[in-house]
Amino acid sequence: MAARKQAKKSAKKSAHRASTNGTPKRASRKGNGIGQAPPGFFLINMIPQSLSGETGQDSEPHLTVNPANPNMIIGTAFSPNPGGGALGPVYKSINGGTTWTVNAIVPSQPGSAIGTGDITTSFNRTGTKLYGGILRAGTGALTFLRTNVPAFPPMTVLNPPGRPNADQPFTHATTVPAGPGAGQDRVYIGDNDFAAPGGKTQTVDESLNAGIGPPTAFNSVREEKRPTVGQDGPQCRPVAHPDGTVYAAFYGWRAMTGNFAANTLVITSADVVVVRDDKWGTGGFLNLKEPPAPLGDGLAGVRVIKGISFPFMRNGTAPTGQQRIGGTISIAVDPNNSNNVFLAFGAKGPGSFLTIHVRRSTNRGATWSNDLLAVPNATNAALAINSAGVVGLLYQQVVGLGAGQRWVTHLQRSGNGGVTWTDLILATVPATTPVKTFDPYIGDYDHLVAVGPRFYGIFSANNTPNMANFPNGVVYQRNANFTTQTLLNVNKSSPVAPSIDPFFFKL
Amino acid sequence: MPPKLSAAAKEARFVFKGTVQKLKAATMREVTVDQKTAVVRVDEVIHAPEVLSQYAGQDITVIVSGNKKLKKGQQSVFYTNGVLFGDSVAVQAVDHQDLDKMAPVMAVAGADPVKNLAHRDVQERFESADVVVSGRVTSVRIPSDVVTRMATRAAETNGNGKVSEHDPDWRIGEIQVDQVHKGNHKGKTAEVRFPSSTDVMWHDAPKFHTGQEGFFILHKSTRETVAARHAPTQDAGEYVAFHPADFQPFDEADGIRNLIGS
Repeated sequence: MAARKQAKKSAKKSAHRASTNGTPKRASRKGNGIGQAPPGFFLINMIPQSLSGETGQDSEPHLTVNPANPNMIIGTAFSPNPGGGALGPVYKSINGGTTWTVNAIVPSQPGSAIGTGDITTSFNRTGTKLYGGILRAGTGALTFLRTNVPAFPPMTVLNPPGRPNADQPFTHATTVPAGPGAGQDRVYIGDNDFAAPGGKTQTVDESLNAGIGPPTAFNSVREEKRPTVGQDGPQCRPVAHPDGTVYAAFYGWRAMTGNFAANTLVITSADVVVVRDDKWGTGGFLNLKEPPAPLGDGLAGVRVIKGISFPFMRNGTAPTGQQRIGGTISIAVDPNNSNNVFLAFGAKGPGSFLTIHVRRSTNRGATWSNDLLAVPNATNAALAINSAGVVGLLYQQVVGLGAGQRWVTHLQRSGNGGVTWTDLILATVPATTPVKTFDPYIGDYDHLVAVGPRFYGIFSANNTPNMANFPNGVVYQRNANFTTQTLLNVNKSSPVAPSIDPFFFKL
Repeated sequence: MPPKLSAAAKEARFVFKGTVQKLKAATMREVTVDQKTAVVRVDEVIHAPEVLSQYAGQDITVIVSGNKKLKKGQQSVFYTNGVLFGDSVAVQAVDHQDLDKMAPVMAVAGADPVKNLAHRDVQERFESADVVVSGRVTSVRIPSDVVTRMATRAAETNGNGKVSEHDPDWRIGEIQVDQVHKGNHKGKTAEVRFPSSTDVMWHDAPKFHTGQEGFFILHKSTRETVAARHAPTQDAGEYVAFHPADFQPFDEADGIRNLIGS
């Protein structure tokens, strides 16, 4: 409670400090008819004041919250080190997200324009270590990282010099709370390993004792058990429960047509597969099997849906709000009961380049509900379940056409197992400006985390300081004038062009 | 004679003239203050990325490396890289040198720190290049090894094979060479491989198109740190270009013209 009061106090102070520049940063808490922000809601642009001149495309954000100290939060995005050097940055908050700094601790390449390729991080359960998986700038190598908390020295490479031919590392770390292996850090990094035999590329690289080394032993567990079209999709999302249950979800690619280079590739048949291991990943993720024919094929990994289709784009286009589309997957396990799992996945729908579907299992992934929610023209689904059993779904949706087209970022919540949902709009920003400088425009993922009763999330969006774009309020650290809707440089007078920034929220 | 710069100093991205204001101090509470930290006023920015180009007149935190020491009032050129950004900035000084010994260097620096940094990048690429030529791109094509690979995969996997959003999507540009400015290149044409992808991993690489004219700063593929998964593997002698400074158009080539003396 004291921490919450302090956060509120700090937020007020921050908003006040900003308003002395003639830039009122915080909207009223007035509802907009869709969903009124609950008490404790807080949204902030994470770019610090000292980087007010920043104009980068800080897309593809990810977030981790220290379970042992939720005031300590690390965010990441495609952000270069603003001051150069051989380290890329992370965004760090030590006051619950009220203020953020940019810290250079990620192994990179001097002068890199991106800081790092794909990056995701995760605290262990005891909050003593921060782990990460990246595609390293300059080499593209899949690289596993670790650093100590709370000092956060430059991250150590756990698998030097990294591994070629893999994509989209997605990191989840925890610590065995009791029993065999108690105290050991378990790290699961989902990735698409093109070196996997037989085109069965879906992989969880797992370390069962990641706190030691380097070298730190990582085992590549191949999750795909069925024939593919030569590979699977890039998304592999692992998540662990403290009782040792580990789930992962991925797209199994079965057929495709078109040409990636020509931006016409369509995955014409894909399965959404959920795998499970009941002993911390030591059993090869074989605990969830389909029944034998004719009900299933008897193989490990339950196909929640079969034969879906979606585009796999090289470049974002106008109809997709400049964002390349290539599927989206998220899975969350109930912290109170590992039998309960929610899954979100994207598939092409009528009049929709990608529709997010949300389903639920109450029997450890053996069977699944029908759609509990379906959101057209949307991507970047991110699920989390809090300690009260409330499920949250973060996503970003394109609405409108032409100059009026917008990216609208939503947080949907359901406290009754997905029967009814409450929608909260976090941001509604122009989709046509700024013009993208690279793909992906807003990122191939965003992220949502639950620690205790609270949700913490991160997304990337147009940073124009316009209160209408943030209907439930926002705080800016960087200099901005909300009256003239202009970003300002460190001198507080030179205008700065709008760009894509990471935004953090909690409620 | 000006002091020799260390390799790290040559690579530093934020270089400025500054005056030490306070020892054992910092402008950010997140920085642990000790004998290596000092508050330094930025008097003039020499090299900087755009986002740090307007820091003249501001106090920032400098963390010195090794056994180097600072004195209050000391005026130096600081060669730094960014460490921490919040309400203020903290930088790691990989080197610093007294201002009175730096006159020749200062004379070279222009007024725009962003352009100065860009020129330095061009210089570094020029110095490491195998060949620098000027000329015109006469054609752009898909490399034959990529065509072959696509055909092979077409037979195996329904026409596409493995695809990644980070695929460099290599192309080869053929350059009609007007003049060779560095290195040995025989023949009237040169071929350079470049990533055409606009993905985050490759977007800032030069994207050549037919009719493009300028200076081409070329490195042999074996000498470049190409991402292992994307490396051209067929011809060790092939030129590659994927650094943004590897192409300089004729109308924005003051830096390279100074280097080649034209």
